[in-house]
Amino acid sequence: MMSLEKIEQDIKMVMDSNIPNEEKDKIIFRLEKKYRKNGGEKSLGNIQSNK
Amino acid sequence: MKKRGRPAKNKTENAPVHVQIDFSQITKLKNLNIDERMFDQMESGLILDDLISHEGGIPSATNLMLFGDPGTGKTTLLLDLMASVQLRNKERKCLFISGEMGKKQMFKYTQRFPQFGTVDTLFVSDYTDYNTKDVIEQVLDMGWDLILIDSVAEVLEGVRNDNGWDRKVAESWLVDTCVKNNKGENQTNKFSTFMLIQQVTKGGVFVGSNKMKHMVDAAAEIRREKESNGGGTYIMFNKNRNGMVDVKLYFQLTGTQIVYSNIEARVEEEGDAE
Repeated sequence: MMSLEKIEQDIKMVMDSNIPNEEKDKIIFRLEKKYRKNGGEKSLGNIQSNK
Repeated sequence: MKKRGRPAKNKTENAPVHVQIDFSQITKLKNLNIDERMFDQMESGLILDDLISHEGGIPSATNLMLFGDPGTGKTTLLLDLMASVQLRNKERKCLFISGEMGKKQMFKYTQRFPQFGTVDTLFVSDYTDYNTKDVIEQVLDMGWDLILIDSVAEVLEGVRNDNGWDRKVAESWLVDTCVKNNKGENQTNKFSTFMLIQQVTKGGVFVGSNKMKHMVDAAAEIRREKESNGGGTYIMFNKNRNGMVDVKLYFQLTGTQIVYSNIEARVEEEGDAE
């Protein structure tokens, strides 16, 4: 089981990056799937703003 | 009138001997028959998965080369990746071929990074009584999903010394050996993926033959920035048939683990090249 905190960090890192949006969306989609599978409940917006 | 200077050299004198090539393997693309396992991805759960391939994970039957200056963390980063794959995929067979470090050094290393402890490791120094070529060929023939070779230079050095080969012949052997195992031609029919650690010259240029460059599906470098540029250490793919290029993934070695801290697309600027 992956740590939710770590996946949240990865999501935030990708969201804050300047990589092209298309790539960013694909990665975030995969990370979010992993996050939900591990029981994560925060919205992507809350992850980005560290709420 | 007699021509002056040296007599003209016969142009065909040193040309390679031409042999008749068998082209019976030319095929229509629709007839390609590829084993589905060759399209598997090995997930590590690390953000690095997303840079390595668009599907997320290390693709089977491929070759990844990592180069960078000494002490930048090449071995640590790839061992961490391999150990993470092994932890998440117990059925996968992972092998670390250590030509650079001996048991004592690795023992200390594993105390610092306990997650590395799960990886099967072959110490080249344990087999100095044997021909390095035989050692590598036979261990690979057991069939492994993921193999980390540290380093290409060390293995080639051993193979050259043991067989009296020059660099080109040794490199050609390594390429052929990797490709053979990529194709699953080993005892357990594993479509092996290789991660190869390579050295660079002082100018940061890839050391190796064209044959080796072509064999590599993905080439990444680890760079440490100058203090004036932030002083960070990053990995970036500059060739990647399956994933992202020109994206810097910054990382730090903090105590017992690697922490990926930041992602940045490389921006072409004047004086960007170090």
